[in-house]
Amino acid sequence: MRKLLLILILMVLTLLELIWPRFLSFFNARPDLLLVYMLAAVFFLDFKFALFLGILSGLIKDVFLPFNFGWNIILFAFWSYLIYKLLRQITAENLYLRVGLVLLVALFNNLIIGLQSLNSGNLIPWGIFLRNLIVTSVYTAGFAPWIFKLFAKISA
Amino acid sequence: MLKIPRRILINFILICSVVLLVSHSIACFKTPVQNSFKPQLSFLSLIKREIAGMFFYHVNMIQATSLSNEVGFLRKQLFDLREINQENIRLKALLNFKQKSSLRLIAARVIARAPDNWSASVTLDKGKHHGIRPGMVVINAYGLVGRIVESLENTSKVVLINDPSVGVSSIVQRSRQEGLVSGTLGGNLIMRYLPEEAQINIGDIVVSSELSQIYPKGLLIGKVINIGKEFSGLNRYAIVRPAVNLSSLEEVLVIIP
Repeated sequence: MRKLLLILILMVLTLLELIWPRFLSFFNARPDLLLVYMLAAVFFLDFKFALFLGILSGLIKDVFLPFNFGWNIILFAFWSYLIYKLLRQITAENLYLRVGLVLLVALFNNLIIGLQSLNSGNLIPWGIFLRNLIVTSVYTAGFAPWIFKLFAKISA
Repeated sequence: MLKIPRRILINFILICSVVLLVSHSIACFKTPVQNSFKPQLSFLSLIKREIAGMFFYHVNMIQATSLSNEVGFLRKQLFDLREINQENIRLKALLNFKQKSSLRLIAARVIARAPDNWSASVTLDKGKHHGIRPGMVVINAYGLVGRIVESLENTSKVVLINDPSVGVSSIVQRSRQEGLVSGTLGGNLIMRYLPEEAQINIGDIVVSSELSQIYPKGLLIGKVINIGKEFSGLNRYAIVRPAVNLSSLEEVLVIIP
């Protein structure tokens, strides 16, 4: 039942990300709710199921993107594993620390995708590159507490 | 016959005469008398009003609630009507364009946008089943929108012209100067590979050229809003504002070749 509920939340977040209203866009940037979901799964659930949810959210994200299928599956699985490994070394019970980790992962995730896009020969102006890198990551981290709260309620 | 005693009659006439004589002077008493009664009268009328208010409060409250509900309902109805009106205007423009255009077109609705900020694409509610195939060009009544990159049974994916991976061979309508328009992920497009002596001015209209293998010739792309020199110093570039508002697309037309 709990697993079903978590998958249902994933579907709702996907729909929200796909039809994100313009008036909620901050400097034309939208938060990556699926990334936060994947990290929340690592923080609150057992690793195997969290990894499954991470791969699933990466897959869903890739399905709706026009190019480079598979990048998000690999990246999301990688971040899940990396954060899991990190959590075995440090205790991340503090909300601020968790939000900080989300911000860090979002920054690196955006940096990798941005550099990959530049490497493909796409011309992205520096202003837009930095906007997508910084504003999107900060906006993504800003949504983390709500999703964490949801996960905490479900996993309790 | 009624007999009035003379003494009473005289007294009555005397009193009436006195009253008539001093009536002018009596008028000056009106104001102080009224003033002295005013606070009491005000207080009494206030009590009367309050009692009436208490009595009718419940009735008024019910009426206010019902009116407030009605206002909310009417406001929602007004918003709905405005939305329908806007949709009507858009669809009319599309239909008008579809009827006037010599191209074979399929109308489709935008149902989703790309879930990240590194690409500009939308998902349409029509796919292979409706005759949409990858490579087909997407437009709306205002100009070029993008092209189909993926077509599933009932949905298809359109990469918009402001995606950096898109390049449209284009010309300046006035001077026939050629260039390549590509996306920047922002609100504007960039027209590159313009020679130093390019005939281009701010305000020029940019359309797709016949050199383009994918896009039909003459589709409106946008208007030049700025011109600059590339970092290498060899070429110039132009910033083009797209004719289509790519951030609020709702209905589009797919060109059937």
